[in-house]
Amino acid sequence: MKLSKTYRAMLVSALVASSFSAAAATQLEVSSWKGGASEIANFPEIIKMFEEKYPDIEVKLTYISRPDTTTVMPARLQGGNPPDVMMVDREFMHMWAEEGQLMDLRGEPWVEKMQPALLPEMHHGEGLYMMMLELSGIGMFANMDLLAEAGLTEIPRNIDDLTKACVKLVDKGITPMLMPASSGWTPGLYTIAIGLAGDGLPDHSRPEKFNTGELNFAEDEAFIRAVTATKQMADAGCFDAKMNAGIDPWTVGIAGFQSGRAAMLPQGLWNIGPFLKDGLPENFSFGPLPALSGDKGIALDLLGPAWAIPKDSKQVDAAKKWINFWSDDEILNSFLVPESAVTTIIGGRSGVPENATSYVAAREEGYAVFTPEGLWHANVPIEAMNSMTSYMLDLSQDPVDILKRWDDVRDKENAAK
Amino acid sequence: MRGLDRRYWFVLPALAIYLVFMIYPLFSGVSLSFTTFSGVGEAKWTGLDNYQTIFTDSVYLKILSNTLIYSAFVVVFQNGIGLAIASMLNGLPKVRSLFRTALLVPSMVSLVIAGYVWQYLYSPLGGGLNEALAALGLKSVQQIWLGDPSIALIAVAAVHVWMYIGYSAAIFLAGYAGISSELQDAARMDGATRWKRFRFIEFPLLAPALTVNITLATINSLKSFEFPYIMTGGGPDGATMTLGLKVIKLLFNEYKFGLAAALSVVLIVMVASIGLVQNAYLRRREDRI
Amino acid sequence: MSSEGLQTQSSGEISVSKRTKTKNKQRWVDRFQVLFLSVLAILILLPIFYMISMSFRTRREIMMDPLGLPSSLLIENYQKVAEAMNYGTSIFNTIFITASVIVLVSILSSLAAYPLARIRHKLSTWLYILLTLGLVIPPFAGLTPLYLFMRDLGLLNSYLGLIIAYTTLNLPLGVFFYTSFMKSVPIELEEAARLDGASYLKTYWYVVLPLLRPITGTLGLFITLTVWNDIVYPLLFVTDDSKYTIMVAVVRFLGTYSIDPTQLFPAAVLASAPLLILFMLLQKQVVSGITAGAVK
Repeated sequence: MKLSKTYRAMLVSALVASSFSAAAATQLEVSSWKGGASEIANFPEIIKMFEEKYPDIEVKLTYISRPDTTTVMPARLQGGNPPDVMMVDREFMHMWAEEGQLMDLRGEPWVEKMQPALLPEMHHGEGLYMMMLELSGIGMFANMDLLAEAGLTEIPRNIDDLTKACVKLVDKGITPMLMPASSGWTPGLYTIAIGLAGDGLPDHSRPEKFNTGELNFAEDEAFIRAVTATKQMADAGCFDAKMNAGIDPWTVGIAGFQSGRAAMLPQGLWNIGPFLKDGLPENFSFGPLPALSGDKGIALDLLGPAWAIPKDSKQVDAAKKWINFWSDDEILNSFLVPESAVTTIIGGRSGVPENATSYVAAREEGYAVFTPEGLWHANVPIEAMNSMTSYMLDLSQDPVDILKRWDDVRDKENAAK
Repeated sequence: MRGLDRRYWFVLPALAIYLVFMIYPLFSGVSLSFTTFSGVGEAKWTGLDNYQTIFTDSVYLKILSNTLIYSAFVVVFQNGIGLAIASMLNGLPKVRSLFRTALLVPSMVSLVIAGYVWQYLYSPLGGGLNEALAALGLKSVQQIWLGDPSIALIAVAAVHVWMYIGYSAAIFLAGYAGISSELQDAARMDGATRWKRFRFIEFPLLAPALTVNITLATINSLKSFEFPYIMTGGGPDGATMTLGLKVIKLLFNEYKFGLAAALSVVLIVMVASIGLVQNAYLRRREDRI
Repeated sequence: MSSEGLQTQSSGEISVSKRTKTKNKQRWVDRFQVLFLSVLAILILLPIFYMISMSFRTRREIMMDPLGLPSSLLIENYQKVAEAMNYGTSIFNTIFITASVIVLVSILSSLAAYPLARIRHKLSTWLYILLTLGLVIPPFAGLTPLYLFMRDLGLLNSYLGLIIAYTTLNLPLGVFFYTSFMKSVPIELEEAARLDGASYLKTYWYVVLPLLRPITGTLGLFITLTVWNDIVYPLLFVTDDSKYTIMVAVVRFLGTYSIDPTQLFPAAVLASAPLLILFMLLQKQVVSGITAGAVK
């Protein structure tokens, strides 16, 4: 008796569940690594507005973190059962477009709204495969109160000024900066940024030349100086190189800067929001990274997440409406503000707070390079990071040998192709 | 010749599920190891290229030695300390289950969180461990735990031991429960010292528990990737890169599914052979005792 | 041995005082051991303490002094997080799936272990090796093929798919545990049952299975931890939020490039708490099973 009751209840609930999914109008499955609990990024509000505008479409957000996307999505793509719209970034886009898994979006109404400098980054070969939502970036955070103690009023813009500032800070008993290197992320990207930028306005053809092998890292004067800069910083007392090899950039490094244990930290723009919310450090600003020379510094742009449509999407029309909806400045801005990120559309409003104005100014004047992640083979930045940690552990190494490691990995990958 | 023992039928349900849902997908996975598969699309057949890469690139030699050191450390310390704890608890029935529960708590915590807390304990910027050493007047022993390539691997393995010590202790305790208490009492009556009782009565009788513990610890530590993944990402400069982590990195960061499959095969073969030899030895040892 | 015992008894006063002395000494040794174990346990639990302590603190406090104590108990962290996690549903799913997997694995693998432990024959050795080989297979080795297979069977987005996947994953462990355990159990009981005319199946059900209770507790614990802490299978096989397990809900609080401890930690504590409570409640059963089990 009892058993049959339970059984009936199960049957009924199963029926209800199946009829429920059948009754829904058009269900649009959107996969994303934004909009999760930790980076809500105004998603609930944006979805609500979208559903109000298109009452026959119901959005179903599937949150999958960026790392999990790597294993989950290939399986779904391969299985012909992908979400209708998926979040990608340049790395994923190149990989999956190459395999013919993504839909070519040329001719979509939003394309002409995108900033011309960014359009090439959304292409793979001839095709246009994604709509980039944001630009984030890596620059230098500074605790302005600590800088003021050493008589400094702004973030140094080049290595010379930085090392001089370090000497002043050390005199006051302040640790000038952290260069968290346990995974090599910070020194790796820093070196890539100033090495690619060189002197003066950055030449945007360089990243591709290093990719193809037309230029070699170990023979490039700017890159040799970029690696050497780490030693100059360490020699000037900017940081304890060996100790920083044991600091994780995401946890201990950030806490170290926020708690005032060090005056400066190269990190990402996305930290501004949390830092402001904590009120820690009380008085901080975010500027471009100190470059090899000049008085502008260099901003390292991270190409942000983007929307793409898998070729097996079951709701192509609704998917296109969804993407187009995001190209509205009003909507995009409401996403960019919680992200503290830079807009990708022409004349759009960014979500970057005021204490990052010097960073925004530098990139608007052209003193910015894109991270090569997604352009270079994935192993090259990884080797750059590892080799820079190795350099920090033993600064007596020849910078040319460090850079040869980058060249070797690139050559190996190119040969494999 | 008589027919097969009828009890063999009992293996069938488990075997069927196992073959269908584990071995079959595994073999499809293994076939990827002869290709340059990148997750989606066509897999280009490249024969033994992936294996050649693994056996000729010196990076993999370093990874192999890291894995073996890591595993040896975990097996010795997790089981050594677990056994010591279990043998003490065996004589303390009043507090036994309290301590057993307490020691199992770390294994119930999400690894991500454990890794996060350990970052701060190991931190060279006023981290818990270094501060504690300073308070004990042992400032000279302070280390950059996760940054010094010569100790980072051990520091990571220590967290592995921390997390699973309760497992080993629980299994040894289950073994102790199987030793007849008359035998232990008799030995005590004879005035055998604590050490002698352990060495000549308890330890031999714990042989099955030891087999289970050593086998599981060896297998789990050899294929472990979680701890270095969360605490160091394999750094500094590859000092904590293990075979399991390299498979993950090949998948997640380098998108080389084919090479990852090949490395998985190497890992499986290695762990299986070590496991088999070890298990055969331990079983024979059990029979001898 | 018994003759020696007699000797000790007959050797009069000296041995009695010696015995009280050893008893006293034993008491001190016990006390010292309890003290030592307590210190060790506190050290081992310290990181757990920090985890709970951090879950009550503001981000600002954590950044200022990561290992400090909470200034006040911030329940707010928990309220926000529990809601965002869809806590009740996720916990229910996890418990439902875990329980099903434990039942399936213990039946399937004990059934298989019975012949594997008892038959001394080449085939049984080979089957044992084949079945336990699964222990060494790293979790990612067959992921994509498994997904395609589940899709073809129509098992995606269902509890059944997850239950099958986890059952398969844990079968080798079950076979390994039961076989090695059963080898240490005397065969006499089974032989007696057989002599009474019981079929193999009846012998298994009435004699073998009850003997396996203690090790089933340990196996259940291992399985619970695997299912509870996994995120890959639910993320891959399930797209419906209402079918996710608890760890998937926790991982949502991990940012792409950042960690917010005020969300991650309460979420993690909430996820682990039922596990701990469950374990403490069942601990009595497991322990009494071990001591009462017919291991002797």
